[in-house]
Amino acid sequence: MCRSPREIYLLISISLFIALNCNAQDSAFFAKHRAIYFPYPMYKEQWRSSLGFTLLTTPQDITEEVRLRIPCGNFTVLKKISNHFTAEGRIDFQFLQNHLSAGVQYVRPVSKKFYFSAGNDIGYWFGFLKIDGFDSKGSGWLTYPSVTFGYMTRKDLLITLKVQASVNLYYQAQNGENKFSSGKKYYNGEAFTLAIEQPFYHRKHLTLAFSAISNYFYWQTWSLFYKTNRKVFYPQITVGIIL
Amino acid sequence: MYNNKFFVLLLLLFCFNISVAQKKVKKERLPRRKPSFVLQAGGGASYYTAHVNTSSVAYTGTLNKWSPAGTLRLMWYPRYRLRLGLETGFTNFYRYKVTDTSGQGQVSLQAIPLLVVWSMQVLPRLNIYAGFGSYILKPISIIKALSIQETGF
Amino acid sequence: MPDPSGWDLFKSPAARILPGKARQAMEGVYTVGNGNNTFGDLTAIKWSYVINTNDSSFHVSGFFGKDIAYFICEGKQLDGAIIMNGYWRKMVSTETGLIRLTITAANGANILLSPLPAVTPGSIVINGVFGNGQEEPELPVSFAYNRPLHNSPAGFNILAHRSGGRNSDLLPVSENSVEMVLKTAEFGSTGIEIDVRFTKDGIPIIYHDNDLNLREVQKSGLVGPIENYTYAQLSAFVRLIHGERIPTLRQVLNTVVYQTQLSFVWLDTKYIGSLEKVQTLAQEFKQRALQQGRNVEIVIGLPGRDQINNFLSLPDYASTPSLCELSIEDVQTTNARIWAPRFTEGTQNDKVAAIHAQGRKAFAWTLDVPEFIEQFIREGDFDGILSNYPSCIAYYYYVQQ
Repeated sequence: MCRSPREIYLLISISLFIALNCNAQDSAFFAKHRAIYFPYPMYKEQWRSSLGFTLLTTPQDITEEVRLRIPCGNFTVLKKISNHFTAEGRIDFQFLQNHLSAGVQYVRPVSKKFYFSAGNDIGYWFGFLKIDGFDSKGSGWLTYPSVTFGYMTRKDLLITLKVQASVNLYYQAQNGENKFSSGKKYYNGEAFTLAIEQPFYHRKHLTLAFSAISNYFYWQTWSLFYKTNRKVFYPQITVGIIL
Repeated sequence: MYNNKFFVLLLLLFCFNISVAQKKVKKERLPRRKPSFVLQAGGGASYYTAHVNTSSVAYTGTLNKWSPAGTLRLMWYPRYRLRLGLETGFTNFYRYKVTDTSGQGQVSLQAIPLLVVWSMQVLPRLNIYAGFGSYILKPISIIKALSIQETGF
Repeated sequence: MPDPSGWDLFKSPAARILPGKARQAMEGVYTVGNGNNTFGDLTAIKWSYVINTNDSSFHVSGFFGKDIAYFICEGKQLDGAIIMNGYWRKMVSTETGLIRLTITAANGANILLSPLPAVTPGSIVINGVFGNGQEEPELPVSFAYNRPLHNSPAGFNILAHRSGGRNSDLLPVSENSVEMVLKTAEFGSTGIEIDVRFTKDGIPIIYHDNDLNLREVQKSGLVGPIENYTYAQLSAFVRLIHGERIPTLRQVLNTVVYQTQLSFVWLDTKYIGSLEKVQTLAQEFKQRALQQGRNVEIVIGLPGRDQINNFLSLPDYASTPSLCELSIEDVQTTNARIWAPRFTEGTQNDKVAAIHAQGRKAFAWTLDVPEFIEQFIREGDFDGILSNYPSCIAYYYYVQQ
């Protein structure tokens, strides 16, 4: 299709502007923000990663005097698939109990300030306890569909709200020679996470997140109980440094 | 000859980028004053808002959730709007009396807050405060007991 | 728990108490017809009683294999039929509702109400309705008599944790309360485990946690370690979450011996200190039970090394009934009558056999997952299981063939 030089020039000019601004935006984002939770497309970057920990409070009426006060380490990595698709992998580790997850997010800017993503992760947890009185192992599979909304403030702050459901797919436990497994799939609960991400120190960026988790089963409590008779509220704090 | 409007357009677009950059520089304001520490003391009345169901033990009408309260706050005023500090003080959460088959007495629950406090100046003469932390609880209970066991335990 | 008092027929002045023989004959394993999607294929039906000041109250319970469901009803006879009124509950969820059951004369009431009831498979059919929450029950349910309840010659202890279950299980009365002791047989328990602590003035009381907290007690203004308070303070100011007083050990043992059919009490020692008072009370109430013509076994639980050392310093420790949670060697050292390992080590049939060879018993604790309860009963050799869900143990034990 033939276009006039004028049209071509206009097209090039606008494309150049968009390209320059997209690059500027992406480069600026990478330099200024660096986010793990915030649903920002990976235009230029190939990888993003974060190292941190979570602190979970277990409900006293359920776990009684046994309170989990051990931080759970986590490492999260994002890999670009395309401008709007991102792969995510996460390891949560407490050594005696660990959780691995992987998934894909579709990421879309809504405006310059608002961003959105939707996706799904598959998680596998496993734990083992072989101390006095215990000869136990447990493992299971879950899936976590989620949607995420991001708001970029005028300053350096990124605010993210992530809503994640969890569905239990498989559970297996062993005590001594006795085993039990269940492939019964059930809706396990939901988690609402409010995260802020901002520059911290020497160009390092920090993630601070509060999660309100409401579940029948939570993998960090596998050794205490299999499944509670109602959804239990677990508040959780996440701290991470974006690498 | 190409119309100069295209060059004007390009110029305008790039000026926009420059203006954004300049705007960012302008936002780097200089400190308004020197950082300082401020000690604040206050007093007044406190009301324990949480629900207390002592209906099965308390003598009717004796539950009182009002108390005099005092606070002591050490604030750090940095160069910026947000201020940080520590707060302690004294209050009495609630008290009530009991007349029971096992005895007569009264309870009061005293509390000493240990809080991390933030404050922000929203207007020249208006600051808002918020904090979180723990309370050291000290229950005071006095009971004039009646005997309960025929063999002592 | 829904309120079952809305069935007018059950409140009829003509409705009378059931004879003991009818209650006894009704016990058995029933096939569930209508309602098996909700409750499963079988139910083990059993009666329990408590003795009140002037009379006794009787309840019939049905234990199901699905979702740790059960029903608990009162029963009466009316115009030649048997009617039962109460509620059902699932322990894996918060589902509950009303249930109303009837055995007409033609469906077996005439057999049960006869002087010498002889029950055969299919001779008793219980029909009724159940509903959700407080709504008027309309869903059909039916049970047909299949066989007698399983009872092994050596007997089996169905033990209720904290006298009946934890507060988190949303039961109508508080854990470790006299009221729970009076209710626990309705859940299928034949014995209880209770937690012993001491007040500041040396009164042994029943309470689980080491401090006063909102999991166990209503907000009272008293906080901190429970041993900081005298019994008079606790009695006057503190109520358990359902409004009961924190009981003394004496009150609980008195209730067990004089008001229930329970045959076993496990005194879990939650404190570190002299066991003398506990030993004295255990011996006293053992004697009181014998005077009543009942054999109630009361054992002192030894969960740790400190408690074992304190137990060994008692004057007659070797002849004092105890239950040791540690190794088989510790069981022998303390001459404990019962070895009670945590269930998380598995059925351990070889060790259980070694304990049996020494003339002792073995209990597993605290087993709450139905699949493991089934395995421990089917494949294990334990003489008793401690659970927050005694109804689940009752089901898997009684339906054995």
